[in-house]
Amino acid sequence: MKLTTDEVKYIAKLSKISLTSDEIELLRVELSQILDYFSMLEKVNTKNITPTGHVVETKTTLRKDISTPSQTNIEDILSNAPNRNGNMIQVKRIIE
Amino acid sequence: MNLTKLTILEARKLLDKREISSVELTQLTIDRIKKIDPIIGAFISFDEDLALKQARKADELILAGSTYPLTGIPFQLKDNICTTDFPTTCASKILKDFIPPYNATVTNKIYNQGAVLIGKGNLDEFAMGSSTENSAIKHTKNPWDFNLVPGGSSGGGAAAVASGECMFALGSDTGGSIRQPAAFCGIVGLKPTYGLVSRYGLIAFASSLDQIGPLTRTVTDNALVLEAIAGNDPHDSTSITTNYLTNYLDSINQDLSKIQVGIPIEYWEQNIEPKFKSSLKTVLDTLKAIGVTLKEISLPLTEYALPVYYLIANSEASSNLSRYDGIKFGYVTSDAKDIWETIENTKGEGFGPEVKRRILLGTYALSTGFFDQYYLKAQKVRTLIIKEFKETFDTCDVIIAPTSPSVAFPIGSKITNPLDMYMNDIFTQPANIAGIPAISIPGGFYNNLPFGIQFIGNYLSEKTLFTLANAYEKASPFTLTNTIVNDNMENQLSKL
Repeated sequence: MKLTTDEVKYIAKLSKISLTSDEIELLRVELSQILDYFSMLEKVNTKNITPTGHVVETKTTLRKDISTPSQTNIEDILSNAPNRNGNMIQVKRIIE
Repeated sequence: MNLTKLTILEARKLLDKREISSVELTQLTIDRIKKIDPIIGAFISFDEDLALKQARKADELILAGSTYPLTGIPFQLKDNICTTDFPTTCASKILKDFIPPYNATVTNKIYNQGAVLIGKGNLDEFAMGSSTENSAIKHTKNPWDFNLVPGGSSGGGAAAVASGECMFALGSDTGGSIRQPAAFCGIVGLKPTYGLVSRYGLIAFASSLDQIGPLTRTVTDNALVLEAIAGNDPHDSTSITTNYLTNYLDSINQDLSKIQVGIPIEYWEQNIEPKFKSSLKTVLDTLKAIGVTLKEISLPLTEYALPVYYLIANSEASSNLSRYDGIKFGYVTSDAKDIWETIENTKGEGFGPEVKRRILLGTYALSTGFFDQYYLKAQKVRTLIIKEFKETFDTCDVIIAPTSPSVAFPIGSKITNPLDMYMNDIFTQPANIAGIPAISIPGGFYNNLPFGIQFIGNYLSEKTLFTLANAYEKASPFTLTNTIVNDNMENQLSKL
């Protein structure tokens, strides 16, 4: 299976990762090769098989609706933010 | 004091009898790190003052007579496990200076025993790789031969334990990342049953596959560390809620004659070099000699494990890694005119090539028009693989397999071919896909390099795995605590 440059650009856009044209070309070749190899899965008969999301038996974990300590030191969180404004994390304009 | 020969069990006795203090043990460890780690490169960060502070606290506990198995024992955490005392970088530019606002549950559990955290271990970036060459920070060398890789992605942990830079390390295993480096470095590595160890504070790669586990020099040490970190955690809703057998060290010396070991023909017939295959097969002779029953079994879906693993892992990774957008934490680009360029350029500049490769693969597999063919298909084959293991464990107790199709390979020899690199994990991935436990222990030497042998068990069968592995270890002369093996390691390290 051969991916096109446009397809790689499209996936990069979906992933929100910017790539150089050299990276796009290298990835186009590598991903095509890898996806080719993965096509071997078509040989497996999976008719009427339910997909597995969780390997072990899980049920929705519930707890009592009581407030418990969370992250109490705001500074520990804000100190990691690349851009901050007072007690808030600052981002570039989202809505024009 | 021979730092590569000392086990946690022995150190515990020496510490409790006051024949050595935690400060002395920690200082020796730090001196060793200062001497050899500039070459080995197992640590991304370490802190002498912090370590000695913890060691002094541990000595107070020991003096007061209240100790846990790990009190005063120096250890390393893989740098994808959150620590408030150290940056947690995942060996990525994008988290280079990130200091977590909380400790991982495993970090707290070990801290609560009074162990001494020396520093954080090197890994492939975001745990994506099998050689630690994908680290954006440094390469780690295999202590057995500095031209070779230590394996990955927990290469820093395996190299540190093998070279006496710590008494134990915690790694993470998504497709083999604890077991394969353990095999390449001649030590013991366990991937526990999925859910047995909390993932809270483990920076996620693939949430349905990741598990934290111990890297140690012996099987009994491994059982000791697992005991400390296993158990339900309310912070991790995928952590185990059913009862499981604890006290892994109890009855570790029990009778083996009832254990049936299955030899899956598909694993042993893989593309393994014939001479290496004969070395591997000597393991079976040792097993017969210690009294287990061996039988041939078949796992026909084995060849599909690799594509199933990579499709599921990369799809989950594409979702998990979307959070590194330069907004709340981590690296941010300085070249962006709007919010979208902030996000795209941050990731473009911050992620390494393997990470980008996997995110793109995962995104593609989940995208409209391809979801059914790739991700959904992989999930369905996963169901079949789980069923195949379930049926197999009706006929045998433990499955034996090589850990890796080769011994450690030269640095740089596989990095340019992704598929070549992915093939390293063909024997380890199935256990992650099924969520079942697997342990790699030293199986022998080939071309003077250690190779690992893997025991794979049913859900929550760690006790059986430890029993069998411990018996094998006692019967075979290949552990690091064995004099000849140990002398070889110390000779190697004396070159530094």
